[in-house]
Amino acid sequence: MLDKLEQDIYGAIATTLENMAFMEVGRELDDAVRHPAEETVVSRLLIHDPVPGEVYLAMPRVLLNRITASIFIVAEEDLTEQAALDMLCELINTFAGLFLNAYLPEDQTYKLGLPERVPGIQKDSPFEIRQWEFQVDNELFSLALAGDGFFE
Amino acid sequence: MKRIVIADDSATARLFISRCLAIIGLGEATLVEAENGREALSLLKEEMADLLVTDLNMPVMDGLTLLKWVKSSPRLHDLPVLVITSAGNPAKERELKDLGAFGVLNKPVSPAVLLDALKPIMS
Repeated sequence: MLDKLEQDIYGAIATTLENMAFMEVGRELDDAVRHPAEETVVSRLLIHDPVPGEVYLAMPRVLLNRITASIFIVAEEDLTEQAALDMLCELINTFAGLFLNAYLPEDQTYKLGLPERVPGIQKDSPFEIRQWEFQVDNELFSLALAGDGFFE
Repeated sequence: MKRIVIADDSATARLFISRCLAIIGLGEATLVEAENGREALSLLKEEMADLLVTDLNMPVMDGLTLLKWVKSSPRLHDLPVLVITSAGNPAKERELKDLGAFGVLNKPVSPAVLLDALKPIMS
């Protein structure tokens, strides 16, 4: 079941970034640049139903700005903070939907909260939490899933 | 199609949908953007539209409530409503269609998928 979970996580983030930003998500991390926490922007989305949980997307600001600029067709220096944050929230929203559609049984409905910016991936989450790393354009970013129902 | 209302709390999503509409030949239509269902409803009450494209998960008033309002309004009842959401699956699609949505698409939407969904009302 964990294999399926990881495949669905990767499939959902790969589809999200390929379809929205025409960027390929890789799992080879050896040469990817790891950015410090203070250069990373984090968004969280609560899963209310069928099992309570949380999804986190932590992306280096430099990568988020590159993605946002390419989609909005503006120079990175002309980007607003709000546009970049909105992009991060739309990415996590789209990822979460694709992931839950792939992971849950076909007719299982689910209910999500609204994406919000948070200071970091909360290791003190009340749920069991797992984190995965991927790279785009050689920049490393993270996804985390918290929720006791996902890892049984 | 002359006037299209797009309801989504994400500016990124509204931009995506606008671009897709332009690519499939609806660039001449007036696109009016709303950040939530309540705002969309106000815009529709001000001036009727030919199509409402709405997200589901929005603050203030969500897309499900907006759809129910539209379909229960004698004036807006016939307005075609297309739902574009990240939270769609077959069960949700059936529920939304039972409530009167003519189409339900999953994010991220592409021009080809959007064109296919809009064919019945474009002709």
